[in-house]
Amino acid sequence: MRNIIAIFKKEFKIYFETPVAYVVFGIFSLISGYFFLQIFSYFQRQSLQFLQYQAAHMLEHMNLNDMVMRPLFLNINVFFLLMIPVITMRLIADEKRLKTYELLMTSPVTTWQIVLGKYLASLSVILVMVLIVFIYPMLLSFFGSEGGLSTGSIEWMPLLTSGIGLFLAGASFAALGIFASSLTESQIISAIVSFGLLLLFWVIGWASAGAEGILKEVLRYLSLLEHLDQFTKGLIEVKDIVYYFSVIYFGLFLTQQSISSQRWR
Amino acid sequence: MKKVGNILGIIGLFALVIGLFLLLIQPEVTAIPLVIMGIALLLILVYAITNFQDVKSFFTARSTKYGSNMLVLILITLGIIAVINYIAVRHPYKFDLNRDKIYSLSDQTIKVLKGVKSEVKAYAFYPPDAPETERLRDLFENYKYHNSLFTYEFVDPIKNPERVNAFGITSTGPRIVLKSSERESRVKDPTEEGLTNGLIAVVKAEKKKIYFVTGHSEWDIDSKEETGYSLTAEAIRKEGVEVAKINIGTERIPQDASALVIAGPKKLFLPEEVKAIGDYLQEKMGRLIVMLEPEIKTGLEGLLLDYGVNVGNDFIVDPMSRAFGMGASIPLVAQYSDHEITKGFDAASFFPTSRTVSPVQTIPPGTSVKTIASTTPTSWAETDLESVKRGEVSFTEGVDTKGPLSIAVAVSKKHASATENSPDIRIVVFGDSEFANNKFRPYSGNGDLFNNTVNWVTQREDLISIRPKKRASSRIFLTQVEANIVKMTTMIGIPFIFFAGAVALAIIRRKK
Repeated sequence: MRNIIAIFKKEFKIYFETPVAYVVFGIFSLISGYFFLQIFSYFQRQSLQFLQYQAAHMLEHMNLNDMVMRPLFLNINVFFLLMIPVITMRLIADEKRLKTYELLMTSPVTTWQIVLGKYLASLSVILVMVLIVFIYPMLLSFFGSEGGLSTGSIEWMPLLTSGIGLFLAGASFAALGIFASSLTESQIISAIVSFGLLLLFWVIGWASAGAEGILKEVLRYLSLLEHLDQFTKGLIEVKDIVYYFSVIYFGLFLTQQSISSQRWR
Repeated sequence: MKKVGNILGIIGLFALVIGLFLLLIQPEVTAIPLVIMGIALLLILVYAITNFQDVKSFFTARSTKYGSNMLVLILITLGIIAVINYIAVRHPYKFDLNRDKIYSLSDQTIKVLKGVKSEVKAYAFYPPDAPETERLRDLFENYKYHNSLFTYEFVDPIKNPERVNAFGITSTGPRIVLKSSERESRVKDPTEEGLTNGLIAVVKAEKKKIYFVTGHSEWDIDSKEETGYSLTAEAIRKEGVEVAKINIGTERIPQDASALVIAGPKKLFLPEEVKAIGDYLQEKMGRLIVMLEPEIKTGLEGLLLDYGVNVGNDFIVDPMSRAFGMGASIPLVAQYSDHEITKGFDAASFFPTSRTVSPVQTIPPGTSVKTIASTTPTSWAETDLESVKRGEVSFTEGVDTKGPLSIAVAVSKKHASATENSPDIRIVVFGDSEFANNKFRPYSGNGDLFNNTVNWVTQREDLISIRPKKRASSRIFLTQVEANIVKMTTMIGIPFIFFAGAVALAIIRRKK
């Protein structure tokens, strides 16, 4: 455990004591903020129109959870797919490039400890990004509680489940990303390989649209983006959690195998 | 020799990949990729023989041993993960953390699902991009979650016209079919209420069978001619209802009759026959569809009057129909009431040569009599039947009644002693019988109107009502100032903090 923490601390410092993490957060908040504003202003225009035409029953259907926050989380999930390879690309590849890899391999830490320490550090970055997303509903509830025409407030429980889901999705992407990073000493190649892996798992979901029967269900299940859906509805399903943890475990396991293989290759 | 072997080996590898690729992208397994792969394996074998020494040393090398160990380990891990995921899918467990549990089923539905003891499969004929699909899938998943005997399948009607045909699905009719080994029911409403009622029908209801009365020159359900009813009989069978004929003059009305249909009689019913029908209605809580023609006296008028239906001695004329390419004797019906039969029905229907049937002035106690379909305002009920024969009709003020005219009536009556849940007597009377024959059935809404009628009269289960759940509305209206604050914070404020942090760190690091 102490070894894991030591490696985690080192990686954490690289992320947060250099501009890397802050640039990532800056770009992320810019893009997710843009997503949010687009979806929210559309929502507001629609509400205003219904108000103007006095379509009370349509107004009753408007809610911030399903019409603003849910699409936002689903969009950010796709954005994560593109963003996370950048976060994980250097984790192991960089050690090879800087020739500190041999040092690490001969030190008294196991490969699992190396992998977990580095992986947890990347999770801390992802956690911050998920927390950034929560700024938006907080802004809305700050203004929304004024009363008047505004009714009801955002339901927080579904947002919490969405947040958990988004974090798990990000964690799965990172697990595949760290594996890609263990394959090469070039950060660029590492990022491209993890893009490829993640896109493959995304495209599988598209393929399911054309398939029929049991194959359709299997492809749908395998798709990395499919599993956030239930979380964003405020539902926690055991199978989604099992899926994410499976991807995470398998990604880390492959990483560990890939590093170990250096010893006999 | 070795060089040739190398080249052949590479070609073999390529061929193997191409073969696999073809196998994967083709919908069916064909011979071509298999042949390619066979040749590929042969080429690789040639390579192995010509390079025997290299191959041997590869397989005995230490790295090969470790490598294959690793491969086995990875495959085992993958296998275990697959099994765990399979178990998780087969044994779903979920928590609905929404305030109003909007993604959970009502207690009534769960109770009904617990009563399902044999397999029930739902076929939903919706394309993947239909607005109903997502919500319906959630519902189905929920039903499956509470009882694994429930399964479902979405059928894309555009891709599978043959299945649409086999199930007799139309664009205006019900699009969800619930099927158990022996029964089926159709659901029009893609909501929890609709599905649960459909499920009750599949689980509890007896097999439905309707009898077409014969012996008075009624239209024949076996006849494929224009005036025959074979298309209608076939459509009803497709909905899982049996269809048979009966001569009530010589046979008793069977126990298994879900309903009687009298389709266009041209001769008088004997008093005994009328009594048999009356007794069937009274004692068995019977169900009846009567389809009449103008000018023909059937002897059923008195019985219908007892149930509050007045059969008009007239002939409906509608000049408007010419606009639809029909004669004036074929009135158009585009106005339906909010009755269960016609709820949400918006297709026009045509009734060739028809008379009015309408609720009587003073409706008998305990009876509900409702007009379900009416003609257009341009139509009128011609009472001078002689003029119709001559073909020179005209509207006579004060004598003829102006449209809209009631052309179909639905009756439901409960016994005085009946409790809330006991079944009722149901009768539907049409002022026309040709609208459902082989010639006119395919027109617009005609076929669906008749099918809906059969569904209503044969239904004996109590419908349960379930209030649809939805998330409570939450909306905010920002003032211009507030909107600007939100915009500035999200687009400038937050990113600025992070970028400033990055720049500051970069400067500090450089100074070091």
